[in-house]
Amino acid sequence: MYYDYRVVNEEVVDLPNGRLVFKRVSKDLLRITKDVNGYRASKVLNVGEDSTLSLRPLPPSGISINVDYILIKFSEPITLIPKSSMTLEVKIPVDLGVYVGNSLIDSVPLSKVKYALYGPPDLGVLCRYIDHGVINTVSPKVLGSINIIVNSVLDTVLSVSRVVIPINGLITYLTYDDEIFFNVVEVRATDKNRIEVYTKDKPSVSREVKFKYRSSGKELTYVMMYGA
Amino acid sequence: MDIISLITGSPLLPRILISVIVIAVSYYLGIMLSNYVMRLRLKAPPEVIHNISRALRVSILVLGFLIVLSILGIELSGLLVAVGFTGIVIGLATQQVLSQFFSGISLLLEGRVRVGDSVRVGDDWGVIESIGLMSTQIRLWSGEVLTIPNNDLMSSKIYNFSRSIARRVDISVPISYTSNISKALEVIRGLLDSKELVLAEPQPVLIVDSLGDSAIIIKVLFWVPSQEFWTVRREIIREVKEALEAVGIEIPYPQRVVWLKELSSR
Repeated sequence: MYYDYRVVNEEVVDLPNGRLVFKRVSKDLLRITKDVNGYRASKVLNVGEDSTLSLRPLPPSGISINVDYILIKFSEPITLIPKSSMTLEVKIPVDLGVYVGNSLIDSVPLSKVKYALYGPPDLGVLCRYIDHGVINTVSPKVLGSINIIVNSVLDTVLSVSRVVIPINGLITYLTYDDEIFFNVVEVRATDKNRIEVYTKDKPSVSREVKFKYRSSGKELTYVMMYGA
Repeated sequence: MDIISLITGSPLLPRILISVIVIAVSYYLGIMLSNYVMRLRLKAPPEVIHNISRALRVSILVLGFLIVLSILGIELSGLLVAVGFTGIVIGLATQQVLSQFFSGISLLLEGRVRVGDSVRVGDDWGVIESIGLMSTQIRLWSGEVLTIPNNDLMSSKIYNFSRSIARRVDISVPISYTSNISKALEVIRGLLDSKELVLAEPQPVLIVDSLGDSAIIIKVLFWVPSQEFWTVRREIIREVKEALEAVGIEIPYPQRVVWLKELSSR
């Protein structure tokens, strides 16, 4: 699925949840038709015959609406004893990015898309929602690993059932075996009402990669003030 | 000898000419500075910048006017005493206007509404088009512009739908007494789960709300992104009806059971 395409007439890419059709309209114009999750949409782009389209994994993001965060809800709460840390390996579904050269021109969800509100309606944030219900229904080929290090400096037991991660702080890596992983995310509990989430500039897995994508180019932080 | 004394010592005609020039300069300077403020990339809502620029323009014009009074030899101290007395009279006469003005300032500082917000004030629904120091304009959904004096707006209940990033949709679904309630709940829950724009958190809530005259009422409560409120609401109402019909669950008409007593004939 994560290949390069040069479209002369038509290319059909079968996806786990639908299909993607690239059809040449003219020498300089290309129509992309997305038929995923029961929804169909198309757009025309000025992509010439000599341009190469690349399909690459991306962190899950907003499809019908814009969101800046991912909310990962664990199937069961993780409990940390006081002043301790642990590393969780979580697999989350990726989206498919359509690139022309280095430019991202479209993204396609490869899993069921749901959103969640983290915090109160006026102060909170909308997030792409990922839980075991979403993860269990997708093909393993579209799952990417993410290492979440949870650190607690609290004197009391900490229970974590969800993590909110800034999407622009995530880096996507694709290996030559089409294995996908992200950078490390650190969750630091310094106060019961203040859980800090940091995206680190360090891959979750140490492997040789053929593709690396980062949208912001910097490490980002989000402070979870409404409970974890 | 300062420049004002020099001018006031000269004949009347040149003083009038200089006064006209001063007024013209202060007028254009006011416009220039107010345009400059409008172009600045300030981290403030557009309505606040607009009102600051307007206040700046008026202040410069007033300053020019005061300079002109000096040039014409009108004593400012005497004028200020007169203004003090007349101020009370004018204050009482313009109570309404001042109330609107201070309400406008309060509205801007408090930030209850902003330009572009979708609001309901009383029975009027629309989008805030402009917030002035005296009045606020709302573009109603039907296209008309409603102008509300700021003091009226301040004392009204304002529902601001743009402030929240998510809103809850509440719908009531009646099902017949012969229907299977658990099946109906399962169908509605499945439908909500399949919709992208129905938020997973806060989770949708389904309540068997009441046993009505003709139907069992199920309350369906779910959250959606604010900007998609109406689209998702109407889509879900239509699809709930279709989904319930597809599994044979009836949405009943109001009905009344009439018992007829047969009288024995003698």
